[in-house]
Amino acid sequence: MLNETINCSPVIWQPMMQQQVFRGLLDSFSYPGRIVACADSETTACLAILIALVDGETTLADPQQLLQPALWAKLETRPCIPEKAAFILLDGAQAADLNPCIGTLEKPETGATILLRVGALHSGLSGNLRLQLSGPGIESTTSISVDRLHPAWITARQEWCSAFPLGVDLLLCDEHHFVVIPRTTQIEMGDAA
Amino acid sequence: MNIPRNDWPSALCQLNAAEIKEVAATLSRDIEVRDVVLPQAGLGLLSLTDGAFHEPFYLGEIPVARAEVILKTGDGREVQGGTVLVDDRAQLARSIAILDAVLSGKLPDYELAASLVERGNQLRIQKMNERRQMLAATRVDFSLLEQEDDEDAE
Amino acid sequence: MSYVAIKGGKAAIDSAAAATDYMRCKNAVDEPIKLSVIEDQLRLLTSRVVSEGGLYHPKLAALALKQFQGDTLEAAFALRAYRSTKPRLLETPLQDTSKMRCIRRISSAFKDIPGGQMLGATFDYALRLLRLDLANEDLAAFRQVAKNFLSNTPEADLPDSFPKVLDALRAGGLLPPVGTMREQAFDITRDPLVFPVPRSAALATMARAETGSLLAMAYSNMRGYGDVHPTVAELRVGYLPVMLPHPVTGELMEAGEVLMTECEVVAMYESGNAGDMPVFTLGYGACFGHNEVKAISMAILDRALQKGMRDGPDNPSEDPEFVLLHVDGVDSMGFASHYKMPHYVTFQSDMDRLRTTQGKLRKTGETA
Repeated sequence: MLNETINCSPVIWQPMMQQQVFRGLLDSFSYPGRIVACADSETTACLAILIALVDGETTLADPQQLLQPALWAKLETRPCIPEKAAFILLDGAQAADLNPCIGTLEKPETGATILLRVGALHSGLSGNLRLQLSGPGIESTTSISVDRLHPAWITARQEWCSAFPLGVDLLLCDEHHFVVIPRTTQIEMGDAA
Repeated sequence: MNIPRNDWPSALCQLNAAEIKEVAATLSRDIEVRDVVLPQAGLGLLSLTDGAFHEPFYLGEIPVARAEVILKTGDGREVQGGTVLVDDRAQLARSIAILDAVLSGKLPDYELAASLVERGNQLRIQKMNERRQMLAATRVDFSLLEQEDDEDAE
Repeated sequence: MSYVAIKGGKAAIDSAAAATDYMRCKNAVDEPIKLSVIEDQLRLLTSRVVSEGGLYHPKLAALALKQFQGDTLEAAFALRAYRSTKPRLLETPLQDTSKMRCIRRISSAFKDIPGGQMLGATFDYALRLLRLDLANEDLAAFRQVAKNFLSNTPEADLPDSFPKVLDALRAGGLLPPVGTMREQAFDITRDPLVFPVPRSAALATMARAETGSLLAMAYSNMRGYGDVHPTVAELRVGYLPVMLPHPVTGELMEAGEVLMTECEVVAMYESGNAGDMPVFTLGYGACFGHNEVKAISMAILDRALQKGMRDGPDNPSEDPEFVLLHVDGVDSMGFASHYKMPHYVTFQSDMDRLRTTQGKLRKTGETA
């Protein structure tokens, strides 16, 4: 069972730690499919990413209430419905029931960034759901596998990204790592083990 | 002390920042201080309505520092404190937020905080008085102009 | 246009930075300027940089002036660069400038205004004769000036703030009505000007515009390239209390005060739509700090641009693109300064083209 608690250590609120998390994000966005360790090992990865990225000028949707109310005060971001939010936090194990913003032709960058909490990320094929990734930032192909990620997410993502440059960017996060699948990446879904 | 809570920050900001921080540290030494939000120093957009058509516009940006804390005493009492300042010092805002909690909740030794506010308020009053003196001294008395006209007419 | 990357100049550039510091410090007799000296004794210069930088931080404006050795354009640039590193925390609720704690308040339209006219500290009536006694100011005398002023002026029983002159005119039906639609103000720090722009974009742009640019454009209108014919209904300089919600109680509390200048001008009256009474037209100017010429110029240009935006411009000062794109000091100074960057490749191709053209003309000249 997934440990439902989202942990937060005091050090993640320091600018230096957020900088390090951000560096990790830069790496993961530049090299899609590369599993990056979160710089703060005491804070759940998806929360560390949100702390590093969000502020009062962007919006966050947390429809499954994964974040405690006290955390919202410290994030200092604007809560929003999932259809309009710039960032959305969700449990990857549950099937997608979402209509995220995929941007417009004039402003494709307004497409949502979706953070999915998953069980475990594997750089090999030992996990349940296999994903073969190719495209910009990936030399030929790379394969990862994920535990507790519902395959409906990948199907939904393909639909949202079918009219490139419109689309969404996915951040798969287990407790201590994250991997990015931006809308530029092609995904071939393998068998569930 | 009968200075309203909404005037405490502007009174305190007349004083030396080091003194405010020291008193806040002293008064919160035996109390647990929790940050509800991180003390922040950033910018605010100053919104005005124009004098001609009362349409909103932004005059420019001002430095804003703010903090919100919860103080918990040894006997379990919790008091909230907070402040927002036109200033760029986040830690000063945090100290004033602590004093805001101590004073509003009358926590132990709150008299120290009260005397700071009173002293700051005196400085504030003095500053306002000096401005008024400048205004009064430069006030134009148009009635004198009329007297002269009357004399010319005679 | 291409810029040549300089490799050979790194040592020269480092030395140039050192040279500016050398210029600043080579008079080793005097002491380094204290920031408070700039803020207090050069207060109007500080005001200028505060307003052109677009950030109300007099101490940092003083620092910028010290660092850039008095260049107001560079100092405003430094202030803008600083503000770009800070996070945006909030927008204030709409502030009420009738709550301004005035230190100066005058009207040219009316003698008697509610609350009276107070000249405040102004050079308006000063003789423009150089005061040579300021050349070698006596320290003891300097320290006495403020004390003497305060002890020689009586204690005053004046209100803190004064009603707006225009509100009285408005009550008399002489002014256009106040709009009831509160459109969201345009944020020039986030969105570029894409014309046509709303009036709030024009006001925000002019509020942080370079004083001389605004003045020149307004002057062109005053001298006849325009039709405003203004009278100052009210000019006030003072400290606006900034009211923000208390984080715990939510009540509005005074977070601080901001020195600003505000000017309303009444311009030529015009007939309204068929059947409506003619009313005066209005212009509004406001800026951080104490800068009257800027506020007056801005008010005149506001009126000119209202006309230009509605009826089309008849003069440059009525053309929003002409005015708003050319009054920002950082933009204009930046572009002028970029001409100093090496343009060797571009110019080389210009020379080649000229020589080729000259060559062709000579040949045709010879065969003719």
